[in-house]
Amino acid sequence: MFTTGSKLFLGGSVLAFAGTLIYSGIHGGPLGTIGLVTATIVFAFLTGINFWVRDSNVSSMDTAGIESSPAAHAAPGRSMWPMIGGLGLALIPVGLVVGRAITWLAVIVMIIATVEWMVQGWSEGASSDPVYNAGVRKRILHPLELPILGAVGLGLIIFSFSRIMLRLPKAGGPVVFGGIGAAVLLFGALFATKRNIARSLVVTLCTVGAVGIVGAGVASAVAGPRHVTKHEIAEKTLTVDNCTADHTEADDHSSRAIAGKSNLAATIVLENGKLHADVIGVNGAQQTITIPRSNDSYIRFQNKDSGKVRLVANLGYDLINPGASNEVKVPDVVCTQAVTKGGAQFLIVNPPRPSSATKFGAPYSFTIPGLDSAGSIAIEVP
Amino acid sequence: MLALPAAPAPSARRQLFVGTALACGAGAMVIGGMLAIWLRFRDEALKSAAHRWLPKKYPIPEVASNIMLLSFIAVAIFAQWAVYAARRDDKRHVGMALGLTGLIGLAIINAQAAVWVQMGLPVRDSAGTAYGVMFYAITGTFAVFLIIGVAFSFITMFRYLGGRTAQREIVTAHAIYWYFATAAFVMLWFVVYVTK
Repeated sequence: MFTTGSKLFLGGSVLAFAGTLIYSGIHGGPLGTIGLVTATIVFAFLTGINFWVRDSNVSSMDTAGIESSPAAHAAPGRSMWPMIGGLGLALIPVGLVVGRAITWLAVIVMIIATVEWMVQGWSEGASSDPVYNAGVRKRILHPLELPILGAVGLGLIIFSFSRIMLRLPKAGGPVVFGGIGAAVLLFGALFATKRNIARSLVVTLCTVGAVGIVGAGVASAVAGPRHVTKHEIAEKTLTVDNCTADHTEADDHSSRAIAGKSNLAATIVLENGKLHADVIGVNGAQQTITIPRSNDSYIRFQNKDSGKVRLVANLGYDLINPGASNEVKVPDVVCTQAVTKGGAQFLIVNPPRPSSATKFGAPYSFTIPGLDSAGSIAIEVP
Repeated sequence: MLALPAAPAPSARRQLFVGTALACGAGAMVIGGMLAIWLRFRDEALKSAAHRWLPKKYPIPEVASNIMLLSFIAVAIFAQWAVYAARRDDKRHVGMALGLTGLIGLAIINAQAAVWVQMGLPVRDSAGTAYGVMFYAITGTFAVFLIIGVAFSFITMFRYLGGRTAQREIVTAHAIYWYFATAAFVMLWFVVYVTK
């Protein structure tokens, strides 16, 4: 009457029930009791199901069932996609805690796993020939898989190279990448000269190389880029004042080179110990230039005299906490880096208020610190 | 001496049905285990100095939770209606019953979302009890079971209406799944929404 499977599940039900009684009698407490009660119910449910389907066996008298039942068919092939889909599902809560990027990665992984799994499942039932079925799967998915995998692989290699380059010391980079290039050239030459080289050896070497590069890239990304000292610039703030006659590190290796298409508002020249301005469209040397308010104006400073000097634009003062007892007056100053004879520097000026609003007797002007005899160029801001 | 070849080994059948039953058993163990942990935490919270488990500021919307329970009656009836119609090759009624099952399933998910929104319960309780964590863990897990059930209903409907009317096993397996969900919710409703 009872099939083998039903007897096993019935035994499980009885054991779980007995365990429930013993546990609740000796120990008590809701945790174990309800857990065991649930186990008893589930075992009893499965006993009923198994009893009803008679262990899911096809009767030996049912010849049609022997041939047509699902279990008589070949088992589907193994697939990695359920596992990858599960990995994606597990990554979603991780992403919700760690960051949005991981969540999106998990969603992409799940979409890929779903599509691949569905197509694989469909292709396995396309015909009774497994080889033909595998070909059908390749025909559908390879046009998608190969470009995407190629792009991902290429992206990984590029990303890994970039992390390695950022990590390596400035002098070590050319050495390491020269060595890698030489190794690639050497192995390529060896493969080319030895024609009957084993394919597995080539695959192994390429795999080791790719894993090595990606591994080094990941390690470099984790370790972070090398320390690059911030280059000091010529500026005047509450804590720093490099717009003086003194020369600092900011004046070496100047980065403010001037392009030919810099849309200059004026060129201010120090020549024969005097400052003058050359304004496009105005004849002759000028002592006053007009620039717009709240817009960038590009000024070129050219030193034709000996010595190393800088140009300073004095644009009034900013008031912090105006009218209060702790009012602070901050000079609004921008300057070029110091430039030697024949050199030129670039300066961006953006006056925030009209020159008529200047207070404290400080009109807008360009000056040379430490060279009062050079005079100044007045700035008019309408 | 001549002998007849041995008969082929009998092969298994009803994999989908038995597989669904096993999955339902596993799901029942999950819900049962979680409810057991709930009751243990509740017991410990009531024995503590605060004598409090359910936060006072967050009353449970009983209308929505009771409607969820009543909806499961309709779900069970519709799922069984699909089995009844499939046995009689009544394709139209099978499709209608499966569609209604999925629709009521969606309505139950909506009711569950309404419970979450109306309660506005934080996951981390300032009083230090595990109520918020356990509430969202149990109801969230059950919501996942509901989403699987709705997907099961619509997949079954599409397969059946798509012409695979000979595969009645999936309709029976679908009904078994919703019976499991109904039984699981009855337990959940009593512990989480009634005894609180």
